[in-house]
Amino acid sequence: MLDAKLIPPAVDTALETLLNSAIRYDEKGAPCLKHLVGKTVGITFSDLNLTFYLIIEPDGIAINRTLEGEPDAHITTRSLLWPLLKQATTRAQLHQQRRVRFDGEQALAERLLDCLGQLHADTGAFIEHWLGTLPASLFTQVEQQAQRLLQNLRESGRLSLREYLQFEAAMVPSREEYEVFARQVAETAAEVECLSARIQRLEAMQHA
Amino acid sequence: MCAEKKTVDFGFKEVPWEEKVKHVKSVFDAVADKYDLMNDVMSFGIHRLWKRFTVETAGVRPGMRVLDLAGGTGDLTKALARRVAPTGEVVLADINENMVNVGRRRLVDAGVAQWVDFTIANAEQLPFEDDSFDRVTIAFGLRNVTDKAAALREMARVLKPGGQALILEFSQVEGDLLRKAYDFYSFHILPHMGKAIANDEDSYRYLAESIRRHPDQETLKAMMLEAGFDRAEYTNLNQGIVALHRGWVF
Repeated sequence: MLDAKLIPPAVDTALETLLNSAIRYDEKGAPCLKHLVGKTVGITFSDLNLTFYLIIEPDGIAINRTLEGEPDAHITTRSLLWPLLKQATTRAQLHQQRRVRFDGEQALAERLLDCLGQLHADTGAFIEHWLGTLPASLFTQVEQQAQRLLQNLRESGRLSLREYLQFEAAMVPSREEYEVFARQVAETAAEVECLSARIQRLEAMQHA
Repeated sequence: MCAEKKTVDFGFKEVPWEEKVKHVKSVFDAVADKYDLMNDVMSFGIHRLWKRFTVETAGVRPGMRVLDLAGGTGDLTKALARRVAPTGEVVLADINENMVNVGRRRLVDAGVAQWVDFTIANAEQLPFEDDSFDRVTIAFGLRNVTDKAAALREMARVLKPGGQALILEFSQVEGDLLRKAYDFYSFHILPHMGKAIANDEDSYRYLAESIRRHPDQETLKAMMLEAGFDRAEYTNLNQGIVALHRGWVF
C-alpha cells in the first residue's frame, strides 16, 4: 500500500513549507527575493546524488525534482557544505577550493544564497498565526528573557576574562626586565663555561 | 428500420450517450462544496501527494502555458500557477460551472488567480487553437468524460510539439488481496462516508463504480497512442490505485 515513489513529493512538500514559512515570516519580508522572481536555480548535492530545482515565484519558492530545459543557474556541492554557502566569505573560499561549482548565471546563484542567508524568521509572528496571541506572547517573553540572560552571561564572561588577563598581564615581566634577565643568563652561561673548562684543566693536572 | 440508441456507462449503469454529461454534472454539483474535504477523508490525504507527484513530474517552468482540464477546485492549477508565474499562464477548464466557481474562490484566496484563466469547456471539444499549450493535465477527470478517445485527441491537438499530457486517474489495482480490500472500502465504506460528510451516498457510489469502469493502465496507454500521442508511458502509484499516464507529442 505504501509507495516509495511518494516519499520525494512528501519531502519536497515539507521542505517547501519550511522555506516558505521562513520567507513569509522574515522580519524584513525577504525583499531580496523580489528581484529574482521568475528565475530557476538548480541545486545538486553530489554526495546524495540529488537535484532540486528552486523556482522563485512572487510569494515564495517552489521546489521541483524535474524541470524542462536548463535552470538559469546551477549550484553543485556536497550537502554538508550547504550551510557554509550562505556566507559570502566561506562561499568564496569553497569556490577557490573547488568544493562548490557554479554553472549558468553565477551572480544569480550567489544572490539567492545571500538572500537565503539573510532570512530571519519572526518566530513570534509565526506562533501567533498558528496558535494565537497568548502562546505567541508567552514565547516572545521567554525569548526576550533568554536573550537578556545570554547577553548578561556574555557581558559577565567578557569582564571576567578581561580581569583575568589583566592579572596575568601584571605577572608577565616587561621587555626591559626580560632583556636584563636574558643578558644575565648569557653572562652566567659564559661563566659556567669558563668554570667547567677550569675544572677539566685541574682534573687533568691531578691525573698527571 | 430503427437505429440502435448509443449508450455509455455511468458507473455500473448504462445511460444514453448524450445524457452522461448531465448525470456527471449533477454528481459534481452535489459534491462541489465538500469536494476537497471528501478527497482528504477518502484518500487519507494521499491525493495531495499524488497531485504533487504529477506537478513535479510535469517539470513546468516560468513562462509556460498549461491547460488543467477538469481542473475543478483548482488543486493542480494552484501548484502549476506558482511555477509558471510571472510570465506564464494556467488555463483551468471544467465542464461544471459550480466546480469552476469553487476553484476560482480558492485560487483568489491563494493569491494566484492573476496567472489563471478560467474556462467552462468540454474536454471533448476544446475551444483552443492547435499547438497552444506546453502541458495539459487532467486529474481524476478523464473517467467522467463521455467520449474519452475524443478528449485524448483534443489533448494531443492543443499540445505544442514537445509538449506533454499528464493524466492522473484511478486505475487497476495490482494484487488480489489489495483489490478485495479496495473493493470493500469502495463499495461498503466510501458511500457511507459520503453520506456522513457530504450527505450524498449516491455520488460516492458512482465514484467507486466509475473507477471500476475506467480503462486499465495498458488500455489507456494504447488509447493515447491511437489518439495521436507519439509516445506514452505510465507510472503506478500505491500499487495501481492511481496511475499517472504521460503522453508526448513531437
